[in-house]
Formats: sequence, structure tokens, C-alpha cells
Amino acid sequence: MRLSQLKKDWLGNIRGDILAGIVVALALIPEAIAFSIIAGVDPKIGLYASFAIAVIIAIVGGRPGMISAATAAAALLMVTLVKDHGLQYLLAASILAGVLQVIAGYLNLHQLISFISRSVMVGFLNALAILIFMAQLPELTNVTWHVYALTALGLAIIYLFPYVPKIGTLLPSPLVTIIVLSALVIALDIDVRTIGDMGQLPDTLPIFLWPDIPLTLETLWIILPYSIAIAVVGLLESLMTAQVIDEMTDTDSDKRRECKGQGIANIGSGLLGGMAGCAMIGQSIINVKSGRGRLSTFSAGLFLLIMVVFIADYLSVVPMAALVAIMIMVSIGTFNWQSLKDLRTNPPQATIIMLSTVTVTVYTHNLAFGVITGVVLASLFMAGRLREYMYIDSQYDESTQTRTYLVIGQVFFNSSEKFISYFDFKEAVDKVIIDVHRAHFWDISAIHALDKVVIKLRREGADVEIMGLNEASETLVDKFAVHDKPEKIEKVMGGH
Amino acid sequence: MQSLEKQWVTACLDGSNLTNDIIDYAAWIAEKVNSPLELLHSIEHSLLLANIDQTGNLVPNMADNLMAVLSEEEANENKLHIQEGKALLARAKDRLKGRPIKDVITKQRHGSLSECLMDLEDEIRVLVVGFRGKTTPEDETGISEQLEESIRALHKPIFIVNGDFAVPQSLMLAYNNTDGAKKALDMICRSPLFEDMTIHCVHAVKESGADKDILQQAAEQLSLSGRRFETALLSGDPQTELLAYQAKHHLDMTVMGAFNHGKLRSLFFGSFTLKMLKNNQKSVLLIR
Repeated sequence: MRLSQLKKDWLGNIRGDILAGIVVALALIPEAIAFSIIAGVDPKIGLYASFAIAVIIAIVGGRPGMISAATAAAALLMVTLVKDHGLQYLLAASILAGVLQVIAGYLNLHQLISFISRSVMVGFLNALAILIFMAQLPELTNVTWHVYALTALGLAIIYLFPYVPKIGTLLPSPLVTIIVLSALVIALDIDVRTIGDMGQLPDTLPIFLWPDIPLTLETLWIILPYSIAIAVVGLLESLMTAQVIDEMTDTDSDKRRECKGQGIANIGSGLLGGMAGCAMIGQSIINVKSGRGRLSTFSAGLFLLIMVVFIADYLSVVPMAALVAIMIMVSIGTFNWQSLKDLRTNPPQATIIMLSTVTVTVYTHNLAFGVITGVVLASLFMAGRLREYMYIDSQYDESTQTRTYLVIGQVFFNSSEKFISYFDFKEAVDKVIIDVHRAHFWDISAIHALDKVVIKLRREGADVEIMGLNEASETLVDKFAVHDKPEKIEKVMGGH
Repeated sequence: MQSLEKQWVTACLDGSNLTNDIIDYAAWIAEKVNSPLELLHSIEHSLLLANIDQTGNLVPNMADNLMAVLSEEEANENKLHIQEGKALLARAKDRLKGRPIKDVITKQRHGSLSECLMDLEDEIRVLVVGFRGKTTPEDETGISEQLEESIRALHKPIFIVNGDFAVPQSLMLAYNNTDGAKKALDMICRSPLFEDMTIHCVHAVKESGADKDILQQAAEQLSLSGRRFETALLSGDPQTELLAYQAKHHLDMTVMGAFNHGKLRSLFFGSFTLKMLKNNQKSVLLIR
């Protein structure tokens, strides 16, 4: 790391970064509390996590200006672990998830993000938005009308306050919502649930503590599935967010470093009594409006801790309705509304991939499953499409009694049956020439199909000659590294 | 020769008050070594944002909207910078009209100076930069960060312009037992740039008497090449002694190897190269 780059990353935009940090910290507090409630732990677990993750990722992350903290995506994966085994196992799972992410960084697994198509990414965000919204429903069922009224008022303030002249753009509207609703509840003495009812708030600074669990293989088997899911989902959301921020700021980021950084941050969070987290798309976008450097992420974490420790007593009186309103805003803001309009114009395959990602995620509450479904579907569609790019032309020369097949295009597992079906095995000829110099044989299924055709033709009594096999099998690229060598690609793909 | 033809004497222009001198020095080098000349302007993007937004709420389609706003802002800003750069390069090209230089091209790139130079490294033969950039204050005595970064990033000869242009008649070669210095000596013996100059090959040591051989070898090499030269052995603090020698003999420029010591050493003791640059009144040619 060059010193000057380090200086630019940290001190390139001090005023903007610190102001952005304060705005983000204010927004992170209700979210961290809400995500703790989703996971089923005390609010302080999410608050400590957001502090630890933001501060650590600011130093070790690969994408300056991106905000990482406790997130819904990660919290959703922890629910059953907390219910069945308790907080200590969650802390251990967070640490292990971090270790896995560091390993993923060393193994360059960040490169796999290229398999995630635009449709899968949109599906991921929409599913996340739906899950965040659904997580608010318990707060809105079996409650008095006061809660609905307060939530509606909260939403009105969130969306309308920015239009108030002058102060509208000075104060974050979610903060105004919290203050107004808390004041109302206290002044009118309305009996509704408050954050204080949801569990313990931080009363001290976080302390370094090893999770209190038996260090046995049995423990590992309990936490490992959760850790894997958290690690995968965390990296997915972080890398996607990094891509969004890269685009938005027109700068590059170090994805490998980001993977390792997410890991270190989660290990740190677990050791400081926090849950695992990852990057947050919404908060990161809020941040880049005025903050671009590492200082913005760092100060977001630091201000969060300062505010929380000093105002913990006041936080407990905030009605849950205010939190619900903010979470509905987060949900609405996360959802990609354009994708609904695109349903009509996008190719049907893109829509199927997006909707499958959403459906599987909402059903399993696990974004990893949704993304895997989307990636598999996208790959299948691609393989299906490539199958069309193969045909065989055939000619018969009567004087020499020779049938010539000219194979053009892509022969691979999905097109090998189609490849075989082009040959007329019933035709009685003396000689068959299979010209494959304009074909590409991508895998052993393709080679096997060719063998099959040759044997079958020979059995029918024809002499078979294959022309241009060397060129065709050059595409068995597993043998060569084609990447980075334009002339090689040109050779393989020439004629297309 | 084909490979050499693709290499340029590259002059970095940013509109500072040294601009004309940079152009003149670069033109002088290009003529002497019979190389084409490239005028480079880099457009640096800063992290600093003009607008600060304190509304912390998430609105629908925020990402797309923000993206549109940011690209619009940057597009306008960049258009302006590109215009300014184009004008600067055009003036530079004008100034070079009629000079017998093989070829003059101009180039604009986005990114910091060091980024640009790293991207272009393969096509650079000699780099010509100003000691002070446009944003460096006049009374600043230190070396600008941008320049230091570029010097460290680029492994090509770098000519650092520090003052008005005058065809150099003499130079001081700060010579010692390092690869950089030996490379510099080779270059002086070979390159037509130094044909008409008087070379003062100077070796400075902390304690007198040591290492006379080093100068002896250098002298042999210089006399073989047919250059006019003198040698001198100084004792004392190398930096002060070298600069004093240069001032005393009114030498027009300094040639030296750069960054011979490891990074760690420079971090603790400060780099000798940077100290020499900082305190030099004349232009310096650094050989990496």
C-alpha cells in the first residue's frame, strides 16, 4: 500500500467524510437494533457489531467509502441458531464465518462474482427488500390501532420531511421520525412496545471476549452450516455493493482485499460480542452522496458507538413503530422498482431468473439459496442458447460416392445429441468425410459424440475420414489457458 | 530501431509556471537524441465532493437517480478539464512549431500523474516533469507528493525541470558505487545529449581517502567515450558537499541514480535522492 494512496483514502475528503459518517451512524442505529430483533438477540449485539464491523472494514476493506455493519441478510440466517443454541454459538459462528471469508479471499473466490448476472443481482435485492418487510410484520400484527397510526405518521415524516424548507435537508428524516414519535408516545402516554422492551441496550463499551462454548467437534458441526451461509451471503452482498459503489464513484476497488477485510471485520465483531454482518447497499449509497474515503466508514462506526453509549437510556423509550417505519423505508428503498417495469420488456429468461431468485430466497429465508438458483438457471439458459449455434451442412458427390458433412459451430454437452442427429446412418455410401475445421469441440461429451458417429458410420460399411480435428479440438480449452492471449482466442474463435 | 521509434520523450504539462521551461527542455532533449516528443496532460480526479447531502433516508430508485446525478456532474467537470488541457497542449504545440523535432503528439489521460505514467511506462524514453506542479505553492520548498510518487513509480530516466530554460553546458554526475550511478555513467558516455557538455564526475564520501578506485574506473570510461570531463573526490556529508561543489563550479544540471537503498531505509532516514532534489537549484536527471 503506497503511503500517498493511504493518505488520499483517509484524508482526501475530511469534511464530507465526517458529515457523511454522522448521517450514516444515525441511520445505522435503528437498523442495527432492528436487525438484532430479526436475529432474536438483544439490540446491543447488533449495535456492537455495527461499530466493530464499520471501524475494522474502514481500515482493512478493499472498497473505501463502502459501509458495512450488521445487516438483514446476515441476521436472517441466524434466527434458528439463536433459537436453538443461544447467543454464544452465534458469536462463535460469526467468528468462523469471518475465518471462512478470509480463506475465500486467499483462494480468490471473489472472481466467482462474475457468474452473478444482472437478473440474479436484481432478484437478490428484491428478495432482501421483501424479507426486511416481512420481518416487520410481527410488530404489526395483534397490536392496537395506535401502532398503525404511529407507523403511518412515521412514514409520512420520513418521506415528507425532506420537503420542509431549510431544515428539511439539514436533518436526516429518520432521526426526526424517531424524535417525534418518541415525544408523542411519552406526551400522550400511549402504551406501545418500545425498544427497551426488546432486550438489553449497550451500557458499556464493547469488551473483548472469547465466546463461551465448548471447543468440540460437535460445536463445529452445529455452527459450520450457519457460518458457511453467513460467509457466502456476506461476501455476495459485499461484492455486489462494491460493484455498485465502483460504478457510482467511477473508481476501482480491490475485491480480494474486501473479502479478507469482511472476514477480519466479522472475526472482530464476534470477539467484541457482536453478530456477523456485511456491506449494506442502501447505507453505502447514502454515504457516497457526501463521503468517499475510508474516514467516512470509520467515523460512522465511531459515532455510532459514542451516540449509543451516551443515549442508551433515551433509546429505550423509542417506540417500535418508529423502527418499523424506518425499516419499511429501507425495504422500499432496497427494492428495485424499475425491475417491475422491466418485466414487460426484458426477455422472459431474465424474468424467470429474477423471479426464481426472489421466490427461493423468500421461501428459504436464505439469500445464498436464491442466488445459487439464479446462477444455475442463468447457466442453463446460456447453455441452451449456445446449443442453437451449431449446424451441419452435408453434400453428396455422386462420382466418388462420398458424403461430406461440414460441421459448423459449438459442440458441447448440450448440443452433442443434436450433433449426432444430423447424421444419416441409414444412407449406404462408400465414404464419409466429416469436416470439423469450423467447429469447436468444447468438452469430452463432444469428443465422445464424434467417436460415436464415426463408429456407427463404420458399422454401416463406410470409410470415415475426419478433417480438421486439430483445429476443432483446440477449443478443449481446459488444456490451455486461453485467457489474456488475444491471438489464441482469435485462432480458436476465428470465423465467428 | 523499430522498438525505439515507439518510445517518446514525454513532457508532463499541467499549466504551472514552469510549463514553457518543461516544453523547452523536452524539445532540447528530443532534438538531441533524435526522438519523437509526446506532450502529456493528466486529468486528476479528486475525492473531494462539492455537495454534501445530509438527508439520510432511502428513497425508491435512489441508486439509479444518484448515479445519473453524479455522472452528470462529473461529465461537466471532466469536459471542462479536457478543454483546458486541450488548450494547454495546443499552446505547447504552437511553441514547438518549426523546431526540428521528429514528431510531436499530444495525449490526455484520466487519473493521477503516477497512474498515467505507469500506464504509459513502455512508451516513455525520457520523462520531463516540473519540480513544482500547478497546485504546489510558490514558496513550498518540499518535494510535491505527486512528483515523489511518480519518481518512485516510473523506472525510466526522469528529467526534473527546476527553473528557466538554458541549454546546459555542464553537468555534475553524483557518482558512487551503485547500479543507478553506473547506469547514469553509461548513459552519459553513450547518449548524444551529453556530447557538448563538460562532465564533472564527483564522488562524495563521509571519510576522506576511501574509494579512489571508483573514480578511477569512471574516469577511464569517460575518456574512452571522448567526453570532456573532470573528476573530484569530496569528503563530508555527501548532500551538502555535492551541492556546494555544483554551486562553486556553476554546473547547469545534476545527473544521479535514484533510490538505490531499500524502502525501509528511506522510510527511516529519508531518501538521499529526495533530499538532493529538494535542495537543488538546478534541474536534475534521475536514472532509475
